[in-house]
Amino acid sequence: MSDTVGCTIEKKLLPTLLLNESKHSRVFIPKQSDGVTEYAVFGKGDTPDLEAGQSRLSPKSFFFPQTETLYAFDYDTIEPSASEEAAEAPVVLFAVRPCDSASFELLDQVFGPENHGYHDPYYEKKRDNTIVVTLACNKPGSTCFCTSVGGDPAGTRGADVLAFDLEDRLYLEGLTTKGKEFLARNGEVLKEAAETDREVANTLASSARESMPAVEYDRATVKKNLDDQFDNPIWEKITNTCIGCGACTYLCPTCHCFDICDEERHYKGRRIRTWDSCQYAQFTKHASGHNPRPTKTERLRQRFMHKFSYTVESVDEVYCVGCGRCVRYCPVNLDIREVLREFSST
Amino acid sequence: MSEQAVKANPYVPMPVTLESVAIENDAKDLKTFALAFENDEDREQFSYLPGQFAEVSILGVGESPFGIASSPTEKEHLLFTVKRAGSVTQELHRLDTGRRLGVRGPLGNSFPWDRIAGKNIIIVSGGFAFTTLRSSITYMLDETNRDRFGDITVLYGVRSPGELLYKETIAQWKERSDIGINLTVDREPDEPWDGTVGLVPNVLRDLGPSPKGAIVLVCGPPIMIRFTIPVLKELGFGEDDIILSLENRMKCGIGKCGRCNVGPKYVCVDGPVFTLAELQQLPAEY
Repeated sequence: MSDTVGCTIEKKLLPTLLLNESKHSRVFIPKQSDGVTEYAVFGKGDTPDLEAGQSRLSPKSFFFPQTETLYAFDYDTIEPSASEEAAEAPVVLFAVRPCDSASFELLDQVFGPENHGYHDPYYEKKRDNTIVVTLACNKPGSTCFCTSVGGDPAGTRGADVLAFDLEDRLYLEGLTTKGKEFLARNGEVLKEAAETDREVANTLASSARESMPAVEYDRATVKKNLDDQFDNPIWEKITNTCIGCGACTYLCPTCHCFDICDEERHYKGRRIRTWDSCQYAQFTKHASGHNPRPTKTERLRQRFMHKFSYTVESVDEVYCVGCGRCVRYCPVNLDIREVLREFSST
Repeated sequence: MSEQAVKANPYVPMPVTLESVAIENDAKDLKTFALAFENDEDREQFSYLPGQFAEVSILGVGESPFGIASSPTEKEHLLFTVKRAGSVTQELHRLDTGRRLGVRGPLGNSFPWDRIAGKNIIIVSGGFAFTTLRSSITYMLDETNRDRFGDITVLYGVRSPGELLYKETIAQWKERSDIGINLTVDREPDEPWDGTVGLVPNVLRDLGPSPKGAIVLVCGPPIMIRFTIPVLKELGFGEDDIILSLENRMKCGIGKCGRCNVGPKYVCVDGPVFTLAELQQLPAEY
């Protein structure tokens, strides 16, 4: 946490703040229905559900939607897509969890120009137009393991504002220029925080941290073991139960693979991109029929190699934020933490 | 879209016109497409080197990556030799000239021309992987470039004489004294054939090019490459001087969509050209 003392807002004033913001931005808040938490557009009368915990789907779709039109075309012209233009409208993502906001920084490195100089204007516009208000986790879930992969229940990575839930109030700190502006323009519902507020926030953060499983993942060891044991038959054993559904990749906040395809009717069409998954056989299959990753085993190995070896090598980052969604929702209980354990022995 | 917006958006293709189509082989499943840029700025901006590739679009059908078969010294057209295989290539094979297409690129690295300059060049190729080598040979033989390179030796093998690409161009090369052209077919053909008969690795061994001050470019089907590498090593070529070009399935071509990786490298942005030494550091997922 930074040295600046932040501000507080009484929870009952949150709708006022969000309503103010919704006058010029699209505001998304966590909502729970039928036991499922999702981000939904804030409307008058809404209250963000701060007890809702982690959303089922990662909020990566705000920047990288599951389906997105790249451009529309007819016989003579190519036009930028409506979604590209809609991205001009500012967005406030309220109460994003620290693992998910950390994932935004990892996605930035894929879609941003630091990746071989190529811009992705669709992603970048949406990202630039978004303020991320991150809510620290007081009660990490049973499948959470952010601290094992360099994260923290009060992590600031990718956040513009970091918020702590102090029961009747939120304690807020502006971390970036965007975040500080956000707080400044909402000054009328905010109070300067007392030193004790920050102490309470710190206490909540450390007790959340302590409630999490001990760190047992060593980045360098796992990378070395993964590289050295590429042909270890353990991969076949790990893959045995996998049904190749790809749910883990769709739920993962850092998975970003996509397909590009065309739709056309009566000389009008659009080129769209959709989420794709390294777990599918077609993903790498050549037109000749040759497939460099022909079975589930190679494909599952790819997912782990990519996150814990390849990106460590190429951009010095682990592409796992420890959100635990893949653990929680895998239909056959494949557990990423157990795979890491397999490759952790020195 | 404005010119500026196109440049800021690497997903949007530049408009080109299909100027001509040439059938390359007896099986008629290989055709060479000559494309001309519609806008002068696009033509000037499309500055490439042999070994690079581009995405060719048929709007409404899709786009696919192909190695560029023309040389940057051939100003008027971009050439792509395409085998009919998937949905985009099947549609391409059906098109008439005059049709508008799209091109994104140039993409990927190229053959390492800084390193190749001053060396003797040996080109070993099989089948229809010869495309970027046509680009390379045309580039080196151009009068503005020829002095920069030493001896040029080409070994090109195909299944049968009718499968040879660029027959007229190769005939012109054979007229020249500053390039050695060695053509081979897999087995004794029925039709007249003035080249050798035998598989590329065997003919290469017989040819026995010297590794001294030389660099070798190898492009061909995986089976040819697998048996060619040991012969090159036998002949004394170092792993840094054996240059290969990979193909993997691609979509974006700009290192984002995540499918063409071989270990930590993406074929689209880190390749498609790699040295053997580089490939030996990577898993064989290609």
